[in-house]
Amino acid sequence: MAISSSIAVESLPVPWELTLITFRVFGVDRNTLTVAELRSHSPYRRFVLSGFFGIVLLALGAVAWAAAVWLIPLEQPSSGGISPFRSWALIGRLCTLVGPSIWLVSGLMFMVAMQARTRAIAEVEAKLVPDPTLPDIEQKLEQRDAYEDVLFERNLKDAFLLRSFSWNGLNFLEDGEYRLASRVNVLLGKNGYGKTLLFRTLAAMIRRDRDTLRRLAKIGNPKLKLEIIRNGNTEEVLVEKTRFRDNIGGIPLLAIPDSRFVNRSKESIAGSATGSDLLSPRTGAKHFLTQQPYEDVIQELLTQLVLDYLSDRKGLDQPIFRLIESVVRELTDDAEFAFDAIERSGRSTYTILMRSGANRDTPLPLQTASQGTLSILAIFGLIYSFLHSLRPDAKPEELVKTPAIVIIDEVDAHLHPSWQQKIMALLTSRFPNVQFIVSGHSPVIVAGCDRGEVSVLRRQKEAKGFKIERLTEDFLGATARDLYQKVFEIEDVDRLYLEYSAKASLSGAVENERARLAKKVDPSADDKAKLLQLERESRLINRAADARQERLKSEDSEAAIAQLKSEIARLKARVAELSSKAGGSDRVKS
Amino acid sequence: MSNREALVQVYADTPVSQVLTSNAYEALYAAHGADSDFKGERDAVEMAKVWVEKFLKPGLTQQEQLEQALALLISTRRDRKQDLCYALIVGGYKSEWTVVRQSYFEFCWKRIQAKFDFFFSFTLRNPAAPGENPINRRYRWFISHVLGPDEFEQADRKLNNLLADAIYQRIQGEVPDAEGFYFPDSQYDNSKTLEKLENAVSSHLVFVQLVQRIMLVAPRDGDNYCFREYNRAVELLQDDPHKEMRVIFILAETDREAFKEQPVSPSYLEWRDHIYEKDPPYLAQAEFPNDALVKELNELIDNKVSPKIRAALTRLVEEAP
Repeated sequence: MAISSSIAVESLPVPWELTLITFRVFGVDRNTLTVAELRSHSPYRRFVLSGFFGIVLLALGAVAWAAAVWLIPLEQPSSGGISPFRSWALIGRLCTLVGPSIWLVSGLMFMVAMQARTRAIAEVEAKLVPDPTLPDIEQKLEQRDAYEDVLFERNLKDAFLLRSFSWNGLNFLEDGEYRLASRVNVLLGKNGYGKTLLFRTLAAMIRRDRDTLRRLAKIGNPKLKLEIIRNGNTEEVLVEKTRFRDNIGGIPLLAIPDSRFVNRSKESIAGSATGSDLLSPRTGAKHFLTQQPYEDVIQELLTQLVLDYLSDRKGLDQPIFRLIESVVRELTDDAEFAFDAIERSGRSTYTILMRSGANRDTPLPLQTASQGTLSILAIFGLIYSFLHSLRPDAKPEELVKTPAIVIIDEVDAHLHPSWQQKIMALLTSRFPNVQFIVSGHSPVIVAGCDRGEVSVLRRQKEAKGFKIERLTEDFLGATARDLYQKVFEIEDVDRLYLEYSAKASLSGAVENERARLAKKVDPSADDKAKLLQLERESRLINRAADARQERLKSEDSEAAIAQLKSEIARLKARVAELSSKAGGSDRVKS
Repeated sequence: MSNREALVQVYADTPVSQVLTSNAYEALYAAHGADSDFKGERDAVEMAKVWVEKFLKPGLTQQEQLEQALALLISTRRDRKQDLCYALIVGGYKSEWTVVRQSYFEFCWKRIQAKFDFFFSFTLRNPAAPGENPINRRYRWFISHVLGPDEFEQADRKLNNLLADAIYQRIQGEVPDAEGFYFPDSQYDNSKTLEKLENAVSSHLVFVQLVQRIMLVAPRDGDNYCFREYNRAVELLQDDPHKEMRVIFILAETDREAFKEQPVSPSYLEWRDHIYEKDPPYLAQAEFPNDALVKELNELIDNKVSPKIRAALTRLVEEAP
């Protein structure tokens, strides 16, 4: 076991304390004594060695002395009086009788000192933190996981709301804060602007996924803070150096990735659960965080539908089927959409059949529905299953009111624009206490959003990366044109236009060449091919010229509006300044 | 010379309607038409030139040209075309102006590029800890009206100054193009707070401070950030003849008059007197339902604060020589 640091020796029994005091004589301070020092400290070794040799020498000397004193004759000198030798011999003989007792006592004291040393080493070793070994680490991780499990179980019972997520030092985003509204949060941004990365970081914070956090924040030393409200009280999840600095524990989260692809070639659905626990509160964000294919989860959801159907005599008259039917009907304006039956199609496989306005007489397998319909089914079905896993005993009407946090990446994927426009309203109406955090590309999904519910990731003019901007306006009754301009500032034009509008100066040359080739009486194959190419060029140049005129006119109108707005702003400011100079009161009486 | 610079030169010298048939453009296209960025750059420069031609119509006097040029640059703030408009004005008009106008134009251009339209200073200090920040209670009805009742109920009212949130939101609603620097709560990395404040306060047009009496009490430990922000702002504005127009105080206190008698440490005297002299807009307490009062408070912000933020830029146009 490696010993790496010094540590103070705890108090010892009195005799040992007294013995250890002798160490000080040799310059050993027991209060900063380490085991290594204790073992190798030269004064201490000298003490032990010199003590040993001293005892040996003392023993030899004592033997020699004893022999000498016993050999000296004790007769009286002839001159009378007491012989000095006789006195010394008597004292010496007395000492040889008492000496072994003293020696015995010294030996006992030495043994006590040795025991004290052994005890001190053992004590210090017990106090020092050893370098961890793999089994130690595994044990600690197990302990930590067990502790986190306890926290998560506790969190399952609580209602959470996210308030804000702030970060410093993330390499893909400029330092900032994402303030979250209590019901709907829409994050828009172009591809590659970091929407998914931001959501994954947020999800990793919520679910306390250290591995994902380490992967996402491997560069630098990001500091992350997530302000949450638990049952009305504010708490903070803090991450520094990819380590959590709080004891909040993982919070239940459903995070649905953008790849909600339903394999339409697989019409049969397994009729028994996989046992893989894919629809539990613990795994609600797993695939989003680890970026595993989501198909397994969707298949599990369909299996769950089959099991619900089989296990309950109500058949299709169950809340989850009714929920999906009502949502699809509302989105598609197809009042006839309905689950028709679930039929056995193999030994242990089933097919879910549905009807719609287009196939009202011939029910078709669910997988024949559009990818958009299946995406909607997946979203609403998964949220319902997630809420059910949080409150398994709740009645259906109470279940949909369960508070929860749901992230949906690219909620608009596979959806027709008219569906995109309705999706957020449908989600919030069906699950009124869920806090939704969704991303998308289409500004249409923000239609009807209130102020503070929409944020946009933008590339900054001078910043290192992208910045999140919370829009302060609401989008009630906003038109598609407004949305595109306000939210995405879309100005880009197509490649063909750019190509041919720039070629306008070649128009004359192209026309001349085309006329020359057209006049040829007997054109070669090459001439004919070139003529065809020139005709296309000419057509596109002319078309681009027309489009350019339209664009110039439209831009001119926008500039005119901007000029008017600028003039209005100037006049407003002047009026305010004049009224201020005229002494208009700034007071408001309460 | 980059494609952009070359295109700006051609477009600055030629009206949009004639540019594609001009010899200069033909030569440029022959030389650089195959470059990958040429076509996109051409379109961007052309659109910017449309704006320049709309604002700087033929027949304007030099002063009017200068006014319109500034109005255009203000209108295109936060827009990618602003830099192009500036380049086209410099290439097509500036050289014709007098030296005074040229230097005024450059002075204004620097100011128009300021990162923030306004710096919003307020305090998060809570004089009656524990419990919620009393400012939130005193303006409860106003805050709920502006931010929404949910936002009020769910916010941490001890840590946040929701009145500041509400005023900021109101200003943003009235001057949507304006960008304010606003530190809603303590950031995770407090070591960067000062640096961020310094950067922001050094690049703003108008300094807005929400004044509470607690701000004039020196904190027991640490800095008085509000005082620091005020000092820095005043220091930066000292040479501006309109500096008083660029400093706005909003008073939010229980009693307007009590504020004047607020005892302060000597170092804050000048600050307090400045606030007092300006006779700032006073936000009367709005704790209980009173829609008429909320309307008045909204109007106060709309009429006394927002126009001054807007005026920081429009004044540049007004005063063009």
